[in-house]
Amino acid sequence: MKTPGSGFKLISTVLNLFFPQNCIYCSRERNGGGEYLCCDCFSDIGFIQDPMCFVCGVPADISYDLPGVEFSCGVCRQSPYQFDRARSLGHYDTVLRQLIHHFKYRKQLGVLSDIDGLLEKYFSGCGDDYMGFTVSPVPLHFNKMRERGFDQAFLLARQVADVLHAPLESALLRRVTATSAQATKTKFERAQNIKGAFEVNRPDAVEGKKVLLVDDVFTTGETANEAAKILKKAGAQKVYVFTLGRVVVGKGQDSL
Amino acid sequence: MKPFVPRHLKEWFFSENVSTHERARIPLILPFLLAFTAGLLGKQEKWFIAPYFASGITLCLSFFFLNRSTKNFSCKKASAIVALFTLGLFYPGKEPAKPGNIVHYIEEGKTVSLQGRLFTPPRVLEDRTFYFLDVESISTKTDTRNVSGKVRIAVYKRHKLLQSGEIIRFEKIRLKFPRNFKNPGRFDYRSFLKAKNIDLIGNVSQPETIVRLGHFDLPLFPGNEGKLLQAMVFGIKDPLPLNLKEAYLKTGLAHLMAVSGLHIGFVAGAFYFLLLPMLFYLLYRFKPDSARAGHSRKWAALFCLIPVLLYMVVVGAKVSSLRSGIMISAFLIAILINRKNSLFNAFLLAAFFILLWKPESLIDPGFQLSFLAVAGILWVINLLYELGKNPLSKLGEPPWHQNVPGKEPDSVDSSQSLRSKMKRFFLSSALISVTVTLATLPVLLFHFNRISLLGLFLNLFLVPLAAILIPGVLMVTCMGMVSQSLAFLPAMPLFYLTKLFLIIPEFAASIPYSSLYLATPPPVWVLLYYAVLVSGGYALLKTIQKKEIPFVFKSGWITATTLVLAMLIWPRVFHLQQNKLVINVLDIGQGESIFMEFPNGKTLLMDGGGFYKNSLDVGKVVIAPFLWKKGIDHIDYVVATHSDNDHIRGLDSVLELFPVKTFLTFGENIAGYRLKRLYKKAKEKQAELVSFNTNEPYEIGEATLTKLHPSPTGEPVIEGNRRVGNDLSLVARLKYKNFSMLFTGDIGEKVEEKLVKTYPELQVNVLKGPHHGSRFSNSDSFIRATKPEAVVFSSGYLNRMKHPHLETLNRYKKAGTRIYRTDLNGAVQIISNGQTYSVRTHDTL
Repeated sequence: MKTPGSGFKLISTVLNLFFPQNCIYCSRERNGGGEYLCCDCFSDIGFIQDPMCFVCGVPADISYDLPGVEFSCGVCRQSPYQFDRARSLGHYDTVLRQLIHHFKYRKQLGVLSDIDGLLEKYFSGCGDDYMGFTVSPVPLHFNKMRERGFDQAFLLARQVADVLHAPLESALLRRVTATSAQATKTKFERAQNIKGAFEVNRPDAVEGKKVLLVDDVFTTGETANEAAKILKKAGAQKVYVFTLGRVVVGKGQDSL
Repeated sequence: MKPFVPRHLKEWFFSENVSTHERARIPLILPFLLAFTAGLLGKQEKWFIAPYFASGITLCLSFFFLNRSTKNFSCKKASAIVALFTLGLFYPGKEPAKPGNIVHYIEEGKTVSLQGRLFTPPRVLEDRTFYFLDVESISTKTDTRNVSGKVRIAVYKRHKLLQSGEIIRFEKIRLKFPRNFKNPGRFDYRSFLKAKNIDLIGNVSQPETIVRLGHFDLPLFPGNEGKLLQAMVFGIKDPLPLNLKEAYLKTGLAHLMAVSGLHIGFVAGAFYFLLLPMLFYLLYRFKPDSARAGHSRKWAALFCLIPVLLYMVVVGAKVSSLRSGIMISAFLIAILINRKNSLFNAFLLAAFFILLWKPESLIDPGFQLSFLAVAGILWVINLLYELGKNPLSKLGEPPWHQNVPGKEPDSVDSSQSLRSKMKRFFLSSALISVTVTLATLPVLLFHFNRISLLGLFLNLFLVPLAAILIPGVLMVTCMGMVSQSLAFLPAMPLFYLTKLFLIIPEFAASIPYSSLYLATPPPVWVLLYYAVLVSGGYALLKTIQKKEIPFVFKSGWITATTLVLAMLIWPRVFHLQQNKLVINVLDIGQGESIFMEFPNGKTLLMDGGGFYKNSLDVGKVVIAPFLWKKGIDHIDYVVATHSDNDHIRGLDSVLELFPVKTFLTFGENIAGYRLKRLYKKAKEKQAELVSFNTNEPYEIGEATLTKLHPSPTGEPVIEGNRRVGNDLSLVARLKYKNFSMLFTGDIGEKVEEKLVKTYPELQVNVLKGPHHGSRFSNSDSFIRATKPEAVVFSSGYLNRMKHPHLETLNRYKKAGTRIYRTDLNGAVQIISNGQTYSVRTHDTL
């Protein structure tokens, strides 16, 4: 979304001829969109906005009576999460889902520049909410990271820290058990699966601190919950969670 | 196009159940590449079906893909297409010889002295060695001048090898322009050498000089294993024993010796997957955040570029290695700059670069094989995408092996069982083997007329092993440079693995029918073949997707397939009976071979040429390709005129390569031992031996062939004369209605005299001049008796006997006879309808 000079334009023309990159969602030419998305698809990514659950950030149905600004949803009231607040940038469907897939599974790290743009837009109004927070990724097990070659949560956390001008702490937590992937499990299985997966790596950096945990997708919240539990135990003052995508029951989760 | 295609068929073919925007897009470079190719094709003199047909169709495709690849069909892009097409049309191909080039200062056949530097290692063959000399100066008896140019020098006798880089002076050398056998459908040897920048070729008969050369050796791998590895790893094929080379050709494994994606891909892959974990651990240890950010992948890609480029330099600029080198570099660079690594785009890029660098490679079999194989694989990958149920799998291009049916590319599984991994691996190599075989079949057929039946299975088994062997040998060799003893241990298992590569192809080649020689089908066949292949693949996809295939398509496809097979098995199935007699006096160098096509479609081969010491297998290299290109896969009659090597040596291979129905023989007591051996071989090959008797006209349709000489007893044998063999040559008269031609073998004056006496009516339209135009034949009385309107001499260019002799030529000139000679005119074709006849020559081939 920069306004390139003519020299830059030539380079990008050649680059696009040699290494073409169409919009990853609609396959059309990007025509001045991002690095991986065209303008239309870019603007199709809808942010999750109010009304939503104040705690877990799940978007509220219109049919809800809005009891007030700080209402919490049924899930949060029945079995409260350990974290104080969770927010997601958008629904994990269509364009955003495609973007995350390219990032995480196809290892196209170039999409980060597009995600960066999204984050900037998303956080532009709410910088104050995260004052004094330390940004930290939900850790990935070493074996998994070696296999993948990178840590997607870390990369996201780095971007978030950059946008929020907040300190980044990449190894606050450590994943001690190599759990199997959460992506294909039910809520109960996920909770069982993730139990005891984390350990605090640097207790000194946690005690009394406010921590913003960053991950790619929030589905049932069990992973974030477990991580928050450990952090709280170690004396964290507040734990917020931010994810790029949010799976909402009945929305864009045909593969679950 | 609309009205010709039934609507529902068109819908079925082009409609997608996925909305169009989810289909993988066509890279913009494809139409550009096609436009340039169309231009290059337009420049070719060769006709394919019709003039400019190939060029025109490629240009149309270019616009078609431009339309598909971009939504906004802009003027700019269209004009870029036109510009590229024009560029292709006028793209400079082979450069004309510069002033100062050696070609301007030589007289062919004269002995001169050359000085220069050997610029590549010599090619050592079994009976001769080729040196490649960058010429600095040339001296004749009178003067010396500085010239430029490159010469290939053949040294036949044993001598100490010269080393590349040495400055050498060849005191006595005879230079020639590289010369084609000018037969229709021949291999363009001159262009072949020109593509290697060779201006002239020369022979040295008395080797002198020199310094001992350090062989390029793999010291760890002695013997035939070492030679095989040199060929496989570095593409140095020449030292290989001939039978091994033949075994590889026969079994369709020869591609293992062309350094290609297989090799460079293996090297890059091996390095990448070795480096990646190492770099990852290192980075994680010292800069964990950098490891988390995925920098190890980029470093690994960067470090992989080094061995890839080094390997390319070692192997040299060959089409296949360049192609894969460019593709793999593009792949690695894509990782570096965070772009999608699209194989298809890299493939197109490679084609573009290679055509810009060397446009003439378009007609090079290596180029065609290499690119068609990869295009086939990419196309199948694309089909598999469509198969994937998850629409997401249609995006991006993960490695092909993740796309074999049964695998969801987007799942996160690392816990796949070994069995399913093996199954997938086997499935994909089988699929690739089949794809490559099918995609390259027409190229093999048109260039080599040979297909391997076992290749499919052998590739399945040996290619994965080569994937271990080739990078392994490279690594061991690198280790060996540091320490021989260190490398010895890992070299052992590789040595035994190489043994497999020796034993299996040789065994497979010994199985009868492991390979087939096939005649060339008509050009239309190629179009039909690929149409059947592509639509067949598409229909298969639809069948797997459980979609109804329209009846029109089904029946059309089956018809087309039948047609393709029919044209393959009977290449002349659509060949019209023309009621014409065609006599081809072939250009086979020194020697003689005449191929006749009779009005009823039968064929006869009289003699098969042959080189001194069989230094060139004329039967296999010249005559067989000529016949195959004509679509001829069997010969009805073969006759050998007499025992001389330059007439019958080539028939050996002809008998090997073509089924022969009838072999015409003479009496036992006049056939020399060479002829007898040939008869025996013909019998083994199930040819019927038929005695060809004097003065008993042999009828072939409306034409008759009458033997005039020798008589069954061999009388009169001219005793005390060294030309006894020649004087026993077959003399035969061919008659078709009012046209007649006399074939005279190598007879001398005395036999001519006898013929003139015995046959008062010897007059013919065309005479095959006796004994290549020797002055001891072709007597004036014979010329008077035969009264030929035209005479044809078969003789080698600048042959040692100086045939046809000047004196002979003068005799015919005096008699007013038109003279044709194969050394100057190329193949001489005499075409007659029984009343008149015409003569076609091939001077410019």
